[in-house]
Amino acid sequence: MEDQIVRITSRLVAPFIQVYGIYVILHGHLSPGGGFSGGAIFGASLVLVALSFNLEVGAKQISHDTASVLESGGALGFVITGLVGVAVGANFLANRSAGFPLGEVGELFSAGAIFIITAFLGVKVASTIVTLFYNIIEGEEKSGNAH
Amino acid sequence: MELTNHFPALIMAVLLGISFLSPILYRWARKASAPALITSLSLALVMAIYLLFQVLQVGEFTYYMGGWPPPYGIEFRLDLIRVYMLLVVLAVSLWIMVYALKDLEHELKTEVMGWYYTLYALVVGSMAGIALTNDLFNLFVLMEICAISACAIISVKEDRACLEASFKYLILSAMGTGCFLLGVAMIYMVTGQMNYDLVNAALPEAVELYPNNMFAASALFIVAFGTKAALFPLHVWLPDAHASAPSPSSAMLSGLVIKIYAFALFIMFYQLFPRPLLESIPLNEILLWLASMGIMFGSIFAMVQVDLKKMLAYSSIGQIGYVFLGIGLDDTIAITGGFYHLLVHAIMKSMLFMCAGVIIYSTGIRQIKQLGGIGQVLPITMFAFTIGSASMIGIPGTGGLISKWYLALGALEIGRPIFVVIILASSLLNAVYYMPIIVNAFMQQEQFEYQVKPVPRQMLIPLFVGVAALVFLGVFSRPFIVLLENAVQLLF
Amino acid sequence: MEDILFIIIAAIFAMRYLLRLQARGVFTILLVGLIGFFFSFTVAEMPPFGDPNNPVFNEIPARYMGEGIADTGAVNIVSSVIIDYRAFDTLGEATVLFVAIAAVIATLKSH
Repeated sequence: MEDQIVRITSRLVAPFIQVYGIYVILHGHLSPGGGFSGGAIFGASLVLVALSFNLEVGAKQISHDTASVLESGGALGFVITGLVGVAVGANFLANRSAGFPLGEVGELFSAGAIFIITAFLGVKVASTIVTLFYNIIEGEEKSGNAH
Repeated sequence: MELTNHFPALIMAVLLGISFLSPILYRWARKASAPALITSLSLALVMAIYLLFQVLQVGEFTYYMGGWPPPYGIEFRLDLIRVYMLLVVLAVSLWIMVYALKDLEHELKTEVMGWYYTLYALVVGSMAGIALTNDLFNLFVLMEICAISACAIISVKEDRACLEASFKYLILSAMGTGCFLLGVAMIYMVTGQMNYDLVNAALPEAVELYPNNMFAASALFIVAFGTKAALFPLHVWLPDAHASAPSPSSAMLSGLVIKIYAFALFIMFYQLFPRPLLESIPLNEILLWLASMGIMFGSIFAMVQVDLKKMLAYSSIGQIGYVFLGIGLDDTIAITGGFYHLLVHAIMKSMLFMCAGVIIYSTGIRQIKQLGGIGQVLPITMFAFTIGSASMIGIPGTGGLISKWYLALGALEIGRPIFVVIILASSLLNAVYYMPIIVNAFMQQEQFEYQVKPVPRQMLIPLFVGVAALVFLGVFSRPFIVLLENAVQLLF
Repeated sequence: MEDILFIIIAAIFAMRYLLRLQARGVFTILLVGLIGFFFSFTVAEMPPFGDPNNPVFNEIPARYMGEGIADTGAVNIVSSVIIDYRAFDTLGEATVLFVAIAAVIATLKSH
């Protein structure tokens, strides 16, 4: 896998994919998409780089520890956003009733907890895709060497 | 005062939170990860005990996730029977975890321990959710979590048999989840509701209009929960999965995971399906006969096993049959017996798997034949094994007798003495395969010829707790029975 | 009726011969066919797809579409349903992703 065209193309395309992924995540409450799809787009860009170069270059972009912290952090953020509701006296995972500012309808910073949770979900899904990819590839390599 | 209203959600938040936190804790603060898990499980248990008292005082109440009332949002419902199940799940899982901390050190590689804690917390958390949730789709999501994490706590062991067993379990349990989703889709299509109470209200009309859909949905539910709870002809995954798993996982899977699905099916029967529908389709009758066959065949298969853990696993197929028998008999006393058996079996089967774990830890033996004379070197473990077996057989003074007694009473009350015969016969069969092990362990004169590692105290104390609990359940069963009778009467 | 029966039996024998199926395979095909046969009745009875009189078009979608924006502030109704009205399900789905990761890592690291 030493193809110059693939490498240059993927390097060029990757930032655009990442920006698009972030756009989809942040506009989850305004347009089709959201944390799951945006996170998958963002994660795919990292996988793309790792595929067109090699694992070492890919691993430089995001280390195992960072990925696993982001992974747990994203999920924990979801739970903590839910607990804010409990803390202010509304129910678990409440949005409007917990006093999150809903803002102007249609603006980027609106919809209160939905915006926050979508961002956390995006982080979580992106790191999930990357972690899953690296772990399966490395598991494959390990067992490949063993046999 | 404010916070106590949110306990149902906080239990879920604590268990999910610790499972997300465990990998990080294990990576950077290894010493804190096990105490953190134990603390979270205890915290959840304390909240569940508080909920029990609250339910006893004010009767059943509900909790709206996100503050949205039922047709729009997800509802948790806390009535007596659900809180009872929640308590069983949390108490038994805390107890198993205390044992597991020591046992896992030699069964797992150190680097996967953090992930094991994660998976364990997720199994417990999803089961707590299944016990409380009052929403069909939410039940599906929680079942998915439970299914994947239950497979993973088998496959973490470095053993080819574990992978194979876990894969078989994964496929069959995914099939069960798929059947359930299809059934939920059918129910949603004809009622337009997800909440149990609203589905229950909408179903009588829907059954008139779409009878075949309802037949199909109920058949799919029986298959889904039957597969997951190892109801007789759908039990094929259980023996391998429960026998090859690490001992704490076996205890967890046999003790709790198969029962939570029996419980979910029970809730479907009594809170989802309206009574006329249940009477028009012979669902109870099907359950009864499958359960009876499971009771007989589980015991017969267990007799011919040579591997100790495999024998215990086959015995689980028979024992889950008692719980289904209680549900199928459709009588207050029988259901009380079934649910009492659920608690007693969770304790005794977990304890027997723990004993097997101690034997494997200390001597490495798995074959029943080689256990002769082991009572001289592992007296405490074999004492616990004896009490557990006695309870399996149903000897007076142990919890097993009480549950069988109430099941038999229930069968007599609705005039089906044939099931009393089945219960008696299966008790005899249990005696046939448990007694020789105990007799050989204590009575054999020959010296025990295998190397014996000393057993740490942390593994023996949970066994004492289990023995005490079984004897307590056998002698002071009255408060539990009264509680369960009240809980079951509320459902009719 | 007899023709159909004949075709089915011929098909079974043909499959058995062509695919070299064991008796067990034939039994499985028969069983699956039987289940499919019964499920076809269910399909025939289902409410027509997209009909506005269907039971699913009740007060729930009306509320989601009518007051979703006021309730949650999100223009995207799908987001308002999955992250606000039924946020607990989404927490569960996120957990499913997490448990999948945990299961894969635990299994791969231990072998």
